[in-house]
Amino acid sequence: MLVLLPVFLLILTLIALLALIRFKQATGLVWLISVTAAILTWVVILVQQFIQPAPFSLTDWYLGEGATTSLIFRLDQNSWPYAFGLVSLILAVMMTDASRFEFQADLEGWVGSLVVTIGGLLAVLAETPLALILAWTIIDVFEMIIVLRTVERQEQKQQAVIAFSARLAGILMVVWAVLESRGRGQGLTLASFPPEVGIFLLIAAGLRLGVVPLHLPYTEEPRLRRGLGTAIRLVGPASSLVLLSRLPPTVAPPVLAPYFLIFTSLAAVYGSVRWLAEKDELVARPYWIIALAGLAIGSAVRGRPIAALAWGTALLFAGGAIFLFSARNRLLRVFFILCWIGLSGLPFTPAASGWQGLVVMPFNLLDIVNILAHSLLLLGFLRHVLSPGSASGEMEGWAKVVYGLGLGVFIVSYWLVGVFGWQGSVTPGNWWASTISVVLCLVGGIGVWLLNQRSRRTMETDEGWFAMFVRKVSAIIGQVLNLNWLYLLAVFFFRILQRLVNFVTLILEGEGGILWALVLLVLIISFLLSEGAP
Amino acid sequence: MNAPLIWIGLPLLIAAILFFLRGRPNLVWIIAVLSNAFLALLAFSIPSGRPVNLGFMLLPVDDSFVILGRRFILGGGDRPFLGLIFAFGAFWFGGGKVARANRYFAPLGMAVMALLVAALAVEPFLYAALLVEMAVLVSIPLLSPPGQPVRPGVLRFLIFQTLAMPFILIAGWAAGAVETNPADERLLQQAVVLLALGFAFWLAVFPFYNWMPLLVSQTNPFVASFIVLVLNTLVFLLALDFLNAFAWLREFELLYPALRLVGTIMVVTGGVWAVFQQDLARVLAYSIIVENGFSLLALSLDSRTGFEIFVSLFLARLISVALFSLSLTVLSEKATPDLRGLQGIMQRMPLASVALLMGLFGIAGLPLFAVFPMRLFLLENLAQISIAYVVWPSIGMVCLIAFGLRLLASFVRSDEKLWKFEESWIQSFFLTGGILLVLVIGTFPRWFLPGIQKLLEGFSQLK
Repeated sequence: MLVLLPVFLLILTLIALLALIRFKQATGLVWLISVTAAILTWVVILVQQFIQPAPFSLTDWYLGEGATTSLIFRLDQNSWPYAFGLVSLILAVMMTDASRFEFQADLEGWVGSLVVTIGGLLAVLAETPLALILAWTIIDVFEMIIVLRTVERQEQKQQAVIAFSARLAGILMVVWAVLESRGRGQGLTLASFPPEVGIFLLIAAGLRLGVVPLHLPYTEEPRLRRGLGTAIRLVGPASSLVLLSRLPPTVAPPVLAPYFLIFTSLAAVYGSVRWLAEKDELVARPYWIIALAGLAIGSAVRGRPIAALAWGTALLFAGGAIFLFSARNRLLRVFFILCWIGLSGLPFTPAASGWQGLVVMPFNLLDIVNILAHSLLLLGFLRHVLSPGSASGEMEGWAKVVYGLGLGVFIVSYWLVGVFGWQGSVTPGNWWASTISVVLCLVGGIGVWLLNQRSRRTMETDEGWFAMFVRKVSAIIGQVLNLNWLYLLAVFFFRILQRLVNFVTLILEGEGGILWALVLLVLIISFLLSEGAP
Repeated sequence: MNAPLIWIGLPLLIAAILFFLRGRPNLVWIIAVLSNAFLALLAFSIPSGRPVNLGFMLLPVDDSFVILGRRFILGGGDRPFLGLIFAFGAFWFGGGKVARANRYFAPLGMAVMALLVAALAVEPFLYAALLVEMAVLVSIPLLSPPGQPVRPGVLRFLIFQTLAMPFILIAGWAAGAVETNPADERLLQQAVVLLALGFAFWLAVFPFYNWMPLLVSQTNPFVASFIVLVLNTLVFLLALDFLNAFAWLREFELLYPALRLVGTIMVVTGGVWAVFQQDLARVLAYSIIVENGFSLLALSLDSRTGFEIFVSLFLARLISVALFSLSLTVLSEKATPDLRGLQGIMQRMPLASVALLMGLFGIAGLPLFAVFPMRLFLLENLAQISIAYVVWPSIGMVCLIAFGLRLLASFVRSDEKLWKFEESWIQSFFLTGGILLVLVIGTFPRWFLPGIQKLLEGFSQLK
């Protein structure tokens, strides 16, 4: 039961928060209690890494017996980095929200963030597919409710429904994987799934990253910009990517693996280019997820779940940090250099073990693509950190301290994960690949900056040529990836089938319906007698 | 005192009283809810075969009652079912006020329930066909209240249900002949085919289900789904009774493949037809068809596990369909109950909208909702036989979920900023209760399943 202590602590915090809001207590008090509880949870989960609590099993959840009917939650080296990341994220969200107090104290946003974090924690701790399915559903349902309550325009609501549908499809993929696995007499836990069903799990993880539909940036609603928006944007991917580290090494059938690798590498490059080119980090948020998820899934397909873990935690920590970085000053930017180094994967940094999944001997073209994608990601990170943002000078003194502490603790947590997260996390990794990536990033950064300066002088435009070029190419790719064409195609076939169904209904429910029913009966009986049954 | 008098005679008596009180709807409503709750409580608390201790005396309760040479038996194995059906009645009659059902709903509804319980209890079983037919006839004024034109859906319901009766009666005769002459293959086949046809008509099994969408869309969906559900539940139990009673039926080679085929067709066609609909009442009907298909698939497993899943589905189905039909009726008060009419309704009636979605997604088998645990276990068991058996039912499920997503998209199609709650307090009470039940059963199935599985105690021959 100890393994679920952080979940219970967050549930208690949620109850307390709701009670305080209900009784209209001062916002400061509500915030103080929430932050205190979040700190306590953060400490508990940090300590748990060293005491390794026993797993919690709820056997025989429904009919029958055995592990498939059990809910098992386990904290191990696969789940702890994500669990710690989620708790650190909620703590950072609450602490950095202090900087936004003057505009609006987002109590409802904290409630929402807590709820999705609780769901996320359950998902990352889940060891059985059943537990994962239930936890994912909790996250998705609550996330959709939060978004629907927050956004106002019809289009945004429709996008929220589409996003929910994509995630639901991911859940159904896992259900199908369970059934396939059971059909083969296997699949009691996630780790024991046969490779043949791995493809469904990879698709499930991909669908649940929250990047379908692509244009769901949550940048217009104030509440969804930073705190709550960051929480709901990152909990989904974290709770999905944890699946990759729980799977057996052979996750994709050998025949399909090369195609998967091509797809993930291309996705990583596309994501990192857009991440670099977009106007700010909030607009670029989906592309950050696409790029790092591409690297993580690619690592899993290559049979390196630990590397997938490294990129998954990078997505959560480095992404969380920059998305919460609203008010900026020079000192805080220095902190972010620490985060950038962590992301670089240079030897003995948190992402170092991730390189084992990106560059695998014998060296091939995909490895080069991966290095390129990574270096563009680094460059984009640098660019967004160095962009102006809003100044932190307007904040009250205490808020400035708490805000800085929130970001600081979050970045330090990233390094803690890098040191204690999993066996072999402190490693030189693939030192030459990471060095190439960093050098490419720095050289490319300087080059782009110089070219942009020249372009500005000659074309008298605010936008650099590189950004313009990328935007135009991306617009074309975006048209393909936003799936509108697929939607139109689906509607076309839907209409045709609908006409057919309506026609058959008209016959069966018309005057001769009873006779038609008898004709169908005769057909069934003759089928049963002649062909046998399935 | 005896059990049939309590659970058949007393409800009939109450139904008669309620009929005469029908001019006072509030009183009828209160009596119907309380009496059903009381009967459910009695079913759960009165032990079978032992006298009831009243404190000042011991009251023996006999399990059987003889009238005109026919026996009605309600033994210990029937108690869980009685508890379930009358608890369901309490919820449904309570919801009747919310759904603005006609004034005959409670009196005739109780009579229908009593007659169907009698059908389950009667021996020889041949008389069950007559009692079911009586229940169907009594339900007609509910579906087509006096003064209103008789709709084609009601007529077709009556035709199909009535067609079942001769088949069951002849099957009964054939069954008797098979018992005395088990070696006669031809007779055996005739008995099975007749019985199967009878049950197919009763249960609206493919291809005899086209009356259901007509009926539900042309009458009050809450009342129609009550009739359909209570009838289906009873007939399913009768089917179990038959399987339990006749070894030749249990061992008939083609029975289980046929159940699997027909169940699969029902799930697929129900799901596919649902996804193309605009009218929510029709979707309610198709979702009941899907659910019935899954029940047949559970029976087709031909194992103890299959029977356990089969009876476990009862509770989840009753709650999910009740929630669906109740919320649909509530929403119908404010808008046309189709995809276009209900656009943006979630901003105005969030509770009813959520309840409807939960009912629909619940029947579709989405995780966290009532049906999911049983559905997953059923599919797992089918997958163990062959993964091919899971493909088609999964398509049906996905189609039903897809309709749910279409509905959700329609519900939120609005630029309104404010959220309103236009549901009345009593509507909110019932809808919230239903939502909580669907969630609790879906999240903690073990709290409920052992109780519901006691239904199988009365069927000792089912392995």
